[in-house]
Amino acid sequence: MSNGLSIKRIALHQQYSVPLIILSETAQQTSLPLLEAMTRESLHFGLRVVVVCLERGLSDDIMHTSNTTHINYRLLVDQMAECPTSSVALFAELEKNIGEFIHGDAVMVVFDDIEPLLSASHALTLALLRNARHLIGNNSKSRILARFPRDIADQLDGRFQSITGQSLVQNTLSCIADAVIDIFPMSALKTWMPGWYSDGRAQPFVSIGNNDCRRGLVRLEHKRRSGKVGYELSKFEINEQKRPEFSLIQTTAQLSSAASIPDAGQCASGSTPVPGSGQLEIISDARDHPATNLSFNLSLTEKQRQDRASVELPYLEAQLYQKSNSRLIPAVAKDGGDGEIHYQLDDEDDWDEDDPDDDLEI
Amino acid sequence: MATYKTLSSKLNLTNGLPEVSTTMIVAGGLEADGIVMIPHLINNVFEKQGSVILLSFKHPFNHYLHIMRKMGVNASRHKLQFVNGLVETDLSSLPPTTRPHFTLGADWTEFYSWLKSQPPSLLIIDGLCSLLDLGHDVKVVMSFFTACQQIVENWQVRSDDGYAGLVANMLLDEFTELLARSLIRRSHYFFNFEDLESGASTDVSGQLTAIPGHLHCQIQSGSSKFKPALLHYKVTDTTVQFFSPGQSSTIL
Repeated sequence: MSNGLSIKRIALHQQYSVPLIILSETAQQTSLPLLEAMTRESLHFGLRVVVVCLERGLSDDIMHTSNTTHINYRLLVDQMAECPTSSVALFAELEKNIGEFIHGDAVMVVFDDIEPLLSASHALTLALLRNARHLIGNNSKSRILARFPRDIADQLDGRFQSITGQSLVQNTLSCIADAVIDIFPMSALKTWMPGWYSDGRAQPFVSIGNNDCRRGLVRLEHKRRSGKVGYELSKFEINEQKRPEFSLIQTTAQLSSAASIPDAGQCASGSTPVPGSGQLEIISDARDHPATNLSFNLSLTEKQRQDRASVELPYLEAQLYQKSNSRLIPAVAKDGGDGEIHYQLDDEDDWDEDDPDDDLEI
Repeated sequence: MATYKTLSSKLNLTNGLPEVSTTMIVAGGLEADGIVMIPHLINNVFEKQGSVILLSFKHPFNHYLHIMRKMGVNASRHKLQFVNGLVETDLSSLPPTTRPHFTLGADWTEFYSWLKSQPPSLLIIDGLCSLLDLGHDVKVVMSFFTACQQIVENWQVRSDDGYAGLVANMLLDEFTELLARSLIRRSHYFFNFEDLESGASTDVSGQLTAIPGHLHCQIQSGSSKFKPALLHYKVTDTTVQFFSPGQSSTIL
């Protein structure tokens, strides 16, 4: 059942035509489990999957299904000593092969890792992705899914980041892609809220917090056909059946004392730290009220709640009732009460077919 | 004792070793060298009657023989081959006990051919980051590492005796961080040795952060029982003791 999250609709093929999806990761958190889970969903949806193996490929349960084809572009040991003069030819051949698959039935093309392509040539890699995306077009169920290392991509080509500090390759990819999914470890949530959880300093890329690749945070940038760009932050978890599950982030911080380094036993299962152990806690249960453990009272007594409920709002009567022959009768929905707004579209108005309430979690 | 039982039990590694055909990256700092892992891994492979190939860009063969001798391991009784990556000069005049079995020259394809001809072994590369100091680009170092990884993966371990795997040891600092980030994406385990966060101590030599690498999720059927951990350790003359933070035997 959809919980309104766009990332879930994209991953489960419930909505949206998204021809090019980039899964962006860092050394702190890999996107490989999520990439494999999304590939399994595509197989489950009935798409044919083409795995372009530039590294080790994907897990055996994906690689050896009847609906999976894999084309191996992993450089063999004997080829590594050769001078990379054939990069252009390699890219041309890869683009031709992908094009042949895309012209067929609905297909999911998965790049297990585009780092080797970026190492060879940034420009040719971006051109390859752009051309492949153009081949798919806007109305096809076909997709391209690629795993991208955003923390090392710029340095691979010997270049440096731009003056603004943003990754040049990442910027370009976000222009080409229809959806960019940035993966973060769960511990990143603390650094996004400095003052409450931490001093805001980024965690080192080797830390005990990065011990569970099957759950993390995702930040989605989704460019829709209408031109709108939607942003979404959610959690993901790969369940026992290796399917992806997405959920909202509900946070309630209880700072009991100064944060300390977690013990070996606590982090073994990837669970959140135990409260009262001197560590910060992120409670994902929305029923926990933030006013529960304060030293002053913010909650209402039963009598206060009843008194508040019995307050009559000043314009409610006008909205719900209309005058007729000096009597108040219930307002009919079609005619409306005096509070209803009638709006006439102007000629210049641009009617957007997208539902404006699409982003609401109703 | 060269086998650190406490480390194996805390990390839940079977026989003290990662799974067959996996890759482990060991990173260390100037004061906390990851070399402490090497005798542990070597001795565990010896206990399984396996072979070890040690390629070093940092130390001569004698250095490792001394360490293992102090830890009670007689390397001459086991299958240990040393590949000299330190110097390109001919070391054939050295005594047989300290003579390298192969010297890495300018052409790495000879080394690849030699390595392919060897039986399945634990390949340990000590000082991989030294290639960066020599002026090689990160892409070149990664190409070398990937070639070694492919050869190790192609080795078939035929029985319970024997072992095949790859371990790379490197120094982690701001100059090698890019290499470390690239390596962690191609590894199943990442062990980082560093100084104690809270400062120097006579009872604790440093701390170890052991986390899964990016490829850990692809281990067959999720059979790995590895437990990520943050441990403190103390290096003594003949062994290394690992313990949870605050659980040093001296304190207790």
